Amino acid sequence: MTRLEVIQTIGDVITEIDVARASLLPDDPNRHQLDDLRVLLDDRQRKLSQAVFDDSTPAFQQSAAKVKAVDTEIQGSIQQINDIAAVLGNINKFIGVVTSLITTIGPFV
Amino acid sequence: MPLPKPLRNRVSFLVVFVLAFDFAGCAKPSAYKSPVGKFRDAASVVIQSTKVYLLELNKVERDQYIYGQAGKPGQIQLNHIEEVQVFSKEGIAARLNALDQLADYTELLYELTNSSAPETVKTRASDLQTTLTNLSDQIKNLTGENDKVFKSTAGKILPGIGDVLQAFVEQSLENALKKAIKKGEGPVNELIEAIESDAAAAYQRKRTAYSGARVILIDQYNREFEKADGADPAKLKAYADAISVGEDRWEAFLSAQPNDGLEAMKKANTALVKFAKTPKPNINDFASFAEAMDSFANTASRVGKLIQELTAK
Repeated sequence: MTRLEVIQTIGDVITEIDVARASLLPDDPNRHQLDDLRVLLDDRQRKLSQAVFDDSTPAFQQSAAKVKAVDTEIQGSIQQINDIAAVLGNINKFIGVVTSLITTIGPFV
Repeated sequence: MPLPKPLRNRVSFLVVFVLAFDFAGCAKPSAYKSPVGKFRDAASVVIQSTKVYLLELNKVERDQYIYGQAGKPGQIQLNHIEEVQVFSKEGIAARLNALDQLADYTELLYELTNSSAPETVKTRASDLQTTLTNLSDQIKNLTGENDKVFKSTAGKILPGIGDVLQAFVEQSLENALKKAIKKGEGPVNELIEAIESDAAAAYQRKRTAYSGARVILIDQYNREFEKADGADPAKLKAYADAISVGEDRWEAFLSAQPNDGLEAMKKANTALVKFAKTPKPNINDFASFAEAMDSFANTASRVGKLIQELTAK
């Protein structure tokens, strides 16, 4: 995956989170958790879009492959707000691999 | 890296022009006028569309923070607004300037198909050289971390484009075209790609912002709705209208990727180069060439229209 593909993948998940957020009332406690996770992911995407680094390194590629794998695993599940615990768990899992990727390119962001 | 469409157009046109006169002998400049004119016009639309994304890049980040805080509601802090800016004003200005130079380069190629006065072309090439030199200086002064790639790429390729223009000034148009064919394509493609990368990231950030804006509009309605009997029907209607407009915008936005236009420009440029490399172009070669330019023009028109709609909302 390239840097831009990772940025787009994060955007796909953010969009799904937004659909889930907008399916709950603004003061729903679960909604607040989704809001917080959205802020984290938005921050990660912004950092990646600002960062300048070589995205062909093995370290980046390995991290990006993990991002892709988790994305594939959770795809379509985030909007299933009837099982909010699973939704939150999946988002946290995704944020975990994205954070790991950011750490990989740490000096640049 | 793919070249900016305008540059590609120029290079392609030059190739076509030179080869047609060197080898075919029968093709008149007027034969290129229409397809190259389409290429120039379509490139102009693509360039303008790309500029919209770059111009709005910082605004997108600002607004996402501002309206996100308002939606919570939460405190708005000026230092945080400044933190989320992507490019410096200087960085954006340099990119916009680079796009302008690409547009001028395309215009210069178009003039080659129309002008019976080589001196006019030489003068324009000389003027463009001067503006490219100014652009190089402008880019050298960029200091932002996220300007590094653009700065490095532009630093390597602008001199190459300058050399091509110098050939227009000093040599016969045919020789200049040959030089452009030999040396111009690489630098131009790399410059296009550098801008394309920034535009693609800008699109993704804008997508994230628009996605967040959808939620803010829904929340606005739902907060009023939660007042139950106390809800103001007029407000509910107004908020519902706002959701409707926001959803229209979202739908249009998803189809308005600036890189669609840039990719189409690359294909059109490839078609130009291919045509130019054909020693004796026949009527089918001309037809394929014209078809490729039509295809590019159609894509550019679609992207331009969608972006026009978005900026009007």
